[in-house]
Amino acid sequence: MLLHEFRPGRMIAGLTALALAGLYAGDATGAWTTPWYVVFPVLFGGLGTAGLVTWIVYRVRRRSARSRSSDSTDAPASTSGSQAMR
Amino acid sequence: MTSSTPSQHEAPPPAEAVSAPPLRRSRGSKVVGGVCGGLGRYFDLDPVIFRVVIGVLSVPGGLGLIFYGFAWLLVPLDGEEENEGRRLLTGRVSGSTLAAILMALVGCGVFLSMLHSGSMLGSALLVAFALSSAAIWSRHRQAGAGEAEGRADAATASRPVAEAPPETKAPPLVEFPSWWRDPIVKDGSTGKIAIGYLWGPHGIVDQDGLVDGEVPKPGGQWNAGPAAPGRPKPSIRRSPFSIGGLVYLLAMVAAVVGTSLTWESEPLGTSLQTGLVAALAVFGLGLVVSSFLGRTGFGTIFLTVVTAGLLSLTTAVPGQITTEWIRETWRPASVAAVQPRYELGTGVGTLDLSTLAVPAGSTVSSEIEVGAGRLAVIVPKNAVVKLHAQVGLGDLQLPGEPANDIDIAPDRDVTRTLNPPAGTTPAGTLDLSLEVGIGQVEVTRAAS
Repeated sequence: MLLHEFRPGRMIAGLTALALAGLYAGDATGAWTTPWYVVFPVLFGGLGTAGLVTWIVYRVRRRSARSRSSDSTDAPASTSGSQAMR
Repeated sequence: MTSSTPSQHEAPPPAEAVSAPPLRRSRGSKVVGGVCGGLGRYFDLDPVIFRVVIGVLSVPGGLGLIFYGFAWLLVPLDGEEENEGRRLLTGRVSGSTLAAILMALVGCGVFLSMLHSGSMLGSALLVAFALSSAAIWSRHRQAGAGEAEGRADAATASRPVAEAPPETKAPPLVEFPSWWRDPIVKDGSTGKIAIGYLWGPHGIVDQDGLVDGEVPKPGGQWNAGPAAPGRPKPSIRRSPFSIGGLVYLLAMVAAVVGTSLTWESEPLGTSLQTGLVAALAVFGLGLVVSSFLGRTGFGTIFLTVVTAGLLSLTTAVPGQITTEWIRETWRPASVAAVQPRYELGTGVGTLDLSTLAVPAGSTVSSEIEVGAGRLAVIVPKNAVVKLHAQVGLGDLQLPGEPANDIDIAPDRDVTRTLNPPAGTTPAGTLDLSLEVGIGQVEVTRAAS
């Protein structure tokens, strides 16, 4: 069981790490100079954005799941038991 | 009551099980990490003794903190199989792991800063030796008591009293689920029926009348019984499989490959930076992949942050530090042979000016630079030395200081004029500019 729904927060965190790696790879090859303190704004900005996006996606998914399970005309959104979804 | 609870009438534990349990961090009597409680239980001593000694050892040299931090990392918690270090390496980082690492780091820092006072180290080692000998003595005493008890038991067993018939006992109780107490399951029945042999195999009869695929034997021996109740496995796997361990492994491989490929050709900082960039890229790719395939947790993100921090540290490593350790001695024979600049990447550089005759009234100037390592300068006995020494991180020793006075400090910048000792006629002036990135600068004056 590997495939799952898309998680944009992980994507942003990974892209942040890749961007940092690119910045310092250029520094190592001498293409440009990256000062040592660049890591702080990039890393904390990226991880903060990732956390925010994760939270927003979680809220959206919970709201849509709630609205789907509240209408009683169709099959319930969750069939694994009444405990899983209020 | 279900059949999964172990019967109270199974064979009593053998006498060997009384021997001391393995060293584990205590769960009940803990103040910080439970190390002292676990040590106390292991050595049969009051944990307060360990607490006091580790506290005393922590103050002067940080040895107690180092010991406690590493014990916290390496000794598993009571009832668990993995220690914190292994959890850390497999990407499952918890607050307790971080606290243990922090404690060991602070201990190492205190130890480094106190390195120059050797007398403290001696007394600390003495206290540690006293405690460990007390602990070992206590453990031996415990083992000796157990042996003596065993001998006493053997003595009573060999008496003729043992010929008397054994005392009557109540028959063993049987615990198996009964249909009138079991909850009715969804399909209306009471579920599977347990067989009711008093001395028979444990197990549950399936539809074909078999127990675990075999025909049950009435009157058989007690068998191992049902397995000990562990954490019940969830029947539905909610979260996808973790790829954190795989990503960590690949990142380590990438770091080693990146560093080793550039080790010969690049300076140390660039080589390490290449390896860390490769590791960070692998972590980033793993996180991106895990946004739709597999799962990565807090551990991977933590390791990414650590890698990025290390990366920014390696960019601060001075570029002149090389990966090759060189020993070089410069011994200019005359004033004219003194070069204006000497350079060495990593290693030990020695500038021996002890036989140099500097004519009075003249000035000889030179710059010496060592990236990382040791720079030793021997100046002639009768010369006036104008010294400008810069040490990025390390120690600076000038003539007249004791040889074992090592005081590590960052960003040393000392400008000083060293006059020849009284009784010698002052000769010319040596203008020396010494620079070491990480390491030691040692200036000594020749004896003759």
